[in-house]
Amino acid sequence: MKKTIYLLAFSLSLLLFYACQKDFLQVPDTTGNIDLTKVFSTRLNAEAALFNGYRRTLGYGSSDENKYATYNLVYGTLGVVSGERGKGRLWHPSSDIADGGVTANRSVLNYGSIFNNVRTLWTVYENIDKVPDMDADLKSRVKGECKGLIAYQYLYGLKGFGGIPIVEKTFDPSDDLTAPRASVDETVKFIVKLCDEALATLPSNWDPSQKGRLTKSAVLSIKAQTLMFAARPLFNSTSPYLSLGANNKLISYGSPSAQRWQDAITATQAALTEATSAGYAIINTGGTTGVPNTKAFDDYATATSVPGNNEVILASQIEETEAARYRNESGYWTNNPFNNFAHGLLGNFLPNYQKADGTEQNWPKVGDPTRPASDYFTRFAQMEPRFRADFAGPGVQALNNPNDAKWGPTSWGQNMGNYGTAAIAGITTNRPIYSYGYGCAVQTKFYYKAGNRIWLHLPLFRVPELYLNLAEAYNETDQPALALVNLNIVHNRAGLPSIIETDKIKLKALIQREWAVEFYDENKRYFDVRHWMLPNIGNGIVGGDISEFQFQTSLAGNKNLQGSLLNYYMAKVYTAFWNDRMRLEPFPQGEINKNAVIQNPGY
Amino acid sequence: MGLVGRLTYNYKERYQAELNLGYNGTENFAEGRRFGFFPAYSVGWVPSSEAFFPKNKYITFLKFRGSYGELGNDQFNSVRRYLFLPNTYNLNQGTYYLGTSNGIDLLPRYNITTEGVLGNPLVTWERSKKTDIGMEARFFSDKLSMVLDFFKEDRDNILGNLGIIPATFGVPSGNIPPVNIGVTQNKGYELSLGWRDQIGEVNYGINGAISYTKNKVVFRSEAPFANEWQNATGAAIGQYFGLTSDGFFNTPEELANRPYNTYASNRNTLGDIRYKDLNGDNVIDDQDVSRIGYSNLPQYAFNSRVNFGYKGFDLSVLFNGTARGSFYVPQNMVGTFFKANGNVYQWQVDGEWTPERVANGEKITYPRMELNTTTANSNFVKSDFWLKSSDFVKLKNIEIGYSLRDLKFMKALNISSLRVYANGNNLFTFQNDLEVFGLDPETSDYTNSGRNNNQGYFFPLTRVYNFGLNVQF
Repeated sequence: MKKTIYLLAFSLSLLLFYACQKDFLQVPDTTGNIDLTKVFSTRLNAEAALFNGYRRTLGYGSSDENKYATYNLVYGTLGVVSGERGKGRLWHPSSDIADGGVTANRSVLNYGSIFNNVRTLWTVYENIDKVPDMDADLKSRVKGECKGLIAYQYLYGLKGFGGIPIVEKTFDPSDDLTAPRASVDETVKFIVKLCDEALATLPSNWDPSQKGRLTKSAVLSIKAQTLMFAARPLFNSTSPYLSLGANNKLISYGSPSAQRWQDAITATQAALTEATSAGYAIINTGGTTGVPNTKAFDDYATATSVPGNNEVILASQIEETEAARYRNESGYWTNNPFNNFAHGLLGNFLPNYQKADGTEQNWPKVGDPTRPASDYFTRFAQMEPRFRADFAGPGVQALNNPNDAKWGPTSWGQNMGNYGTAAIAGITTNRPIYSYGYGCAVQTKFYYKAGNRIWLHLPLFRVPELYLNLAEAYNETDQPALALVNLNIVHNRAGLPSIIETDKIKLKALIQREWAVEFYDENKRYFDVRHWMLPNIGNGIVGGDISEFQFQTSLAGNKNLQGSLLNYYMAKVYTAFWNDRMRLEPFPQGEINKNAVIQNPGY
Repeated sequence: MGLVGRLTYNYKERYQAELNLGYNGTENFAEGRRFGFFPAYSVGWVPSSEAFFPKNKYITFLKFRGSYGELGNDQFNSVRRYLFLPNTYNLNQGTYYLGTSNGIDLLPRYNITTEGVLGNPLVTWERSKKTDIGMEARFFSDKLSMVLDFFKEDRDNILGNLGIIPATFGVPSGNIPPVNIGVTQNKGYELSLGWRDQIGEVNYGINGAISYTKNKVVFRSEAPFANEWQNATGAAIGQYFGLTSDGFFNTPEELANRPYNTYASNRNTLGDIRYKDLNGDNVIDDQDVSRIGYSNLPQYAFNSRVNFGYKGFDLSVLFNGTARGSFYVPQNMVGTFFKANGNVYQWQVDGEWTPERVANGEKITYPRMELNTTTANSNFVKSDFWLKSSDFVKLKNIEIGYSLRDLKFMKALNISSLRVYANGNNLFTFQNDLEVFGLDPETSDYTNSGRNNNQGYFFPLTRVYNFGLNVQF
């Protein structure tokens, strides 16, 4: 018995002795997992933290299959909820939004990601001075980049949500974390302040090996767009689109002012001056002032497609297949293309495009008689260069990749239209809807002479934006002559004859049409149509009856071929939901429950 | 890492005591908070063994016992470790591309680093305290036996996330530092009664047991909803939340006077499920979501076993069942045509809402039929309409056997005993509200545990028959 006790005591002490070793229960060396001090101990790691901010902030608003949770739509681009492209397949959130609108539990923009990105960037800003192997000049540039990117993120917050909480540092969990929504005015001022501070330390151009980082032109463009949204009628009004009572300042200025348009003009001119001196320019190789560009197709296609072209002031340079999933619809996309389609050009958006000679195209309307397919090919060929650069169609080769079968009907690899199999001659009513989603044409934008390049640089700011800023702002401040000069720079470049309209209302509609066509699927229209306060937004622009072409085919093997197509007509394919509350995004219900923010009206 | 000690004391089968000591350390917590001491004690007293206890055939055995024990848990999310570490950063989380492009080749890649999980140096052991008081007794020369237990478990310092941190903090909810915050309580009783006796050559026994458990989330860090009934705090663990149904829209008047339904953009029609506007604001929205039904874990569980033996034959039958539990039938199992990929079930047709069936006063168990059912559709929003009772009574097991002993050939083969038997498991369910869905009531529901069973894929419980021969040498 005694022996047993000794033995027990001995083994116990052994165990305790072992337990007292210093490395016992210590943290193992987990690879790839470091702390803040290590991140900012080398330039390499510190820049890696900054580039995380670049990737997420400049990717905000674009889908990459929810990989980075920056975007709640998961499938499709912002165009699918903007009246540009079809709502997608039944399980796509955009389809639910078309059916029932956005709700506090089903929004388009991810509210949490805004602040996740802002935290990432403030972390770099606050710690970059600790990096030993980085010179002071680069450090101050990095600080400017952080502020510029935060400004860009806040611009998205402003145009999406209205006034949002202002976060000016990284929070520690022990801090007071309450941050109420700022007013529209405060949010605009915050963005402008960040842009001005960033401007002081950013270069006009980076070394060519670093192209893609923020420049003076980029932050000036951010500032100009911010002030444009401040001046547009959604915010620049006496009373908001829906009342929020005592909190109206969160979604409106409360008093309209023409000065806001003037501020937008000043900021845009500054951006244009800087961009021009830094070498950025609208690409126009075959036209002069007031004269349609004879090389419009190549110039516009180059400007929207060629990575690093000098019309693009800032782009989201995520050169990955996933980031291009809903924009490259060619036969080169072989990796599970099923979800990529069903986002075709809507019949509602189609009339924005003119013919190449500047006149209106007579496309069939809902209820019009069925037309032979040859009519489609003829009219397609008559369209303006921007349309030809942006679309292919059933039986129509993509003009921007003319000799490439994967960009043409022979081996597109997927349906290019909504197809039926039997022609019903002469019947004009109760015609069947074969399917929806393939729209009136298939998107080819961003892929001029791209061949098998699937990735893209999604342009965030192109020089034409600055001209259209000026056109819109000059028209609003009753200076139609100046408005027309700037509008026609963009319009003539596209190969179209000059616009001469001087009536303010009519000119405003033409400027809005120019925005729509020039920036199709560049993540602009979602916000533009909301902020312009268009009265018929729920009646065919975003909501209301949605139409697409239906094609009748012979029983041929490849329905995409010209020879297989017999007839076509326009059909109403679904009704999309619209409610005025959708002019601004809802905050997530969880945030409302936490009493963190005040919900936008109507949700 | 843990140290365990045990001390047992037993005096003439009258007084029993046991002391268990646990001292555990974990790498998940910071130094100084890393080790936890978890004692457990139990005592027992057997009056029937005392000298003063009169020997009689009515009460043949009596025992009182009580125990108290503490247990610790250091697991959080089962994925996150080293919860105390400062904010972590993860290297090589992707790339960004910089440089002057030639339009064909990819630009040089630059790795990106992201902030990972945030640590909390103050976290420590989650602790559960279990108390149990019970008695065992046997009566009538041990023919009747009884075991009764009352138990209570208090769990506190539960490792969890603070659910009240606003988005402006900038950290995704999965990376927020863990804290010791939750409190839950679990209490109930267990009673089992048994009778065994012999009549002539027939011996038999009947056993019955019932248990009752009620649990409650005493505190959880969550953003309070506008209405108290929407909070998880105060509800049972795994409580279902949803809208409350109130029949169907049967008349145009009912339809015209309905509250605004935010779930389907107010597109309701005759034959749709009508929901109650709980907060009376004339809008059906998330504010009308409340506790519905019970949790998937039933409050009552009972079983009964009967067995007989006669000569070499033996037979045993086991029934079991539960009460006060719920099961949420996922949308794809109740929707028609499986989103245009399948068929309509007979029960849907049988219970379908049609004006004629309403006029005839027939029982309606299914809303109007639709081709495409999604959650955007008002009828398939989470509500008590699709929450079914999981209560059941089931013939769980029957076994019949015949034993042979002392036969000549067995001796020759040196076999000491031989038994032939047949049994069946999961044989027949007497009461099952889930039968039309083809579900066994014992199937567990994953909807509340974050696992998505919306597709309606369940692993079914199997019915098993065994025929066997048991030979002992």
